[in-house]
Amino acid sequence: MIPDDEARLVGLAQGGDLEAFNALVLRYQDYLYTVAYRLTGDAAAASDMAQEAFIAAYKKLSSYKGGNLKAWLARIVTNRCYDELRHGKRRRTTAMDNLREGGEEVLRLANDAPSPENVVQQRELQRAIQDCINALNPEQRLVLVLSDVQGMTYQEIVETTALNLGTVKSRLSRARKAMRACLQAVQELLPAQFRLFNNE
Amino acid sequence: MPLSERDIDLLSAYLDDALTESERAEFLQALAQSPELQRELADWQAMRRALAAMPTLRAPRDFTLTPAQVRPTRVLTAVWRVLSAAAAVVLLVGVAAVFVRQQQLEGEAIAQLATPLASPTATWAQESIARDRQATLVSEVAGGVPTATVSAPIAVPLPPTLEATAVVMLESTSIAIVPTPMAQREPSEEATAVLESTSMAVVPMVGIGAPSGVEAFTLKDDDAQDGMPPLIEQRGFFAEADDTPAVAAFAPTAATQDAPRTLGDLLEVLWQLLLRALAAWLRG
Repeated sequence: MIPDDEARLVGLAQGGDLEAFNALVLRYQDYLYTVAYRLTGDAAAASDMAQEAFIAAYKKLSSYKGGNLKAWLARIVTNRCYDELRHGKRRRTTAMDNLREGGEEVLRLANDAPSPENVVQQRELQRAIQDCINALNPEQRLVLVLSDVQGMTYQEIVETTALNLGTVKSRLSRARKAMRACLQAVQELLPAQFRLFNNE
Repeated sequence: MPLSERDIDLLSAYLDDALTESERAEFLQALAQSPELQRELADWQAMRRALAAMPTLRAPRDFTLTPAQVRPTRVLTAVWRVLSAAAAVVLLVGVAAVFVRQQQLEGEAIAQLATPLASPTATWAQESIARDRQATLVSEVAGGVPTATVSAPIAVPLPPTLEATAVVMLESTSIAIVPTPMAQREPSEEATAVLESTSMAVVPMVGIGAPSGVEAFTLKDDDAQDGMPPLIEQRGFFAEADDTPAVAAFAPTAATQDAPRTLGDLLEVLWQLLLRALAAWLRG
C-alpha cells in the first residue's frame, strides 16, 4: 500500500511540483544508490545511475499509475544499470578502489552501535561479497542482487527485468552457485567469525 | 559425489520456497540421503543471509533535482533539429555536386567515344529498330574479327575471345547490364550473349545521358594480351526507328543534350527527399 503522504507527493509531483518530487527523492535516494552500487560495483557509476534514474522518473511520472513506487523506481535504475553493464560504457573499478577513493561511502550496519573493530571486519566481509557480486556476469548479477540483496520476489524480478520466470529461476540458480564458489575461495582471507561456510 | 544441475536448481528454488509439492518431496528425499547436499544447503543459507544483510548505503550526495535538470529541453531540441536539417541540406548539396561532376565526366567520355577509332575500326550501324524496340548492332572490327550482331532481346553472336557487355537503356533513369563471361573458347567457336529481359540486372542509370528510348551496347575485348586486337570498347546509341541514323547517334550532342533532363530527374528526387526530411523534422 502506498503511504498517504507518498500518494499525495506523487500527485503533486505529477502536477509539476518539483519540491514534492524532491521529497520522494530524499526518501528513496539511498535505496536507489544502493541498488545501483550493488549492480555496477562502482561508486561513481552508481551515483550517475541514481541521478539519471530520478531525472527519468520525474519526466515520465505521468506514466506511473500507482502501485509500489519503490519498485517502480528500482525498475528504472535497474534498467539503466543493466544497460551500463551490458554496454560497458564505463571503465570498471573495484569496490575496494571505490571505498578508498570515495571515502564518503558510509555503510549502515545492522548493529546500531558496532565496535570500531567490528565495523572494520564487517566491512571486509561486505567488500568480499561485493567483489564476488562484481565477478558475476551482468545477467547473473542482476537477478542475484534483485533477489538476494534487494529481496525481490520472482514475480517482482520478472516485472523489473522483463525476463520470463524460467529464465529468472535458472539464472538465479547459476548465480548462487557461482557466488558460493567465489565466496568459498575468498573467505580464507576473512576473520574466522565472518567466514560464511564450514570447510570441514 | 558432485551435485547435479538438477540438485542445484532444486536447492535454489527450495531456498525461495518455490518448489511444487512433488519437487519439494523429491528434494527433501535427496537431502535426507546426501550429507553433501545438506552441507551445500547450509552454505547457501549462510550466503543468502549474508547477502540479505548487505547494508543500505548512504548516497554520497543528495540527488534532488533542480529546475534546470528537468526543464524541457526545447532549446536543445530546437538546436538539434536545426543542426540536423543543416546537415541534411549539406548532404543533399554534396550529392548533387557529385552528380553534376559525374555528368560532366560522362559527357566528356561520350564525346571521346564519338571519335572514330583508327585501329581497329568499328562500325556501328542501325539496321532496324522497330516499334517493338528490336535493335540490331553490327560491329565490324579490323583484324579478322567477325561481325557481331546484337538485337535486344535476341542472341548476340560474338567472335571467340571477345567479351560482350550489352547495356540496354530501358528508361531514361534505369539501365540493364548483362555481362557475358569470357570463356576460353576454341577459335572456331562463336560466343553468344543472350539478352533476356528476365535476367537483366537493373541498376540506377546515371551519367550516360543518352536520349530516351535508345539502347547502348558495349563490346570489349579482354584478351588483348593473347594476340588479339587491343581493347575494343565502343558505345553506340540508337535512336528510335525512323529517327536519327545510327551514325548520327555517335555525335556528342546526341549524348549530352539529354544530360540536363537526367539531372533534373535527380534534382527532383533530391527535392522530394528534402521535403520528406523537412516533414519529418516538423513532425519532431
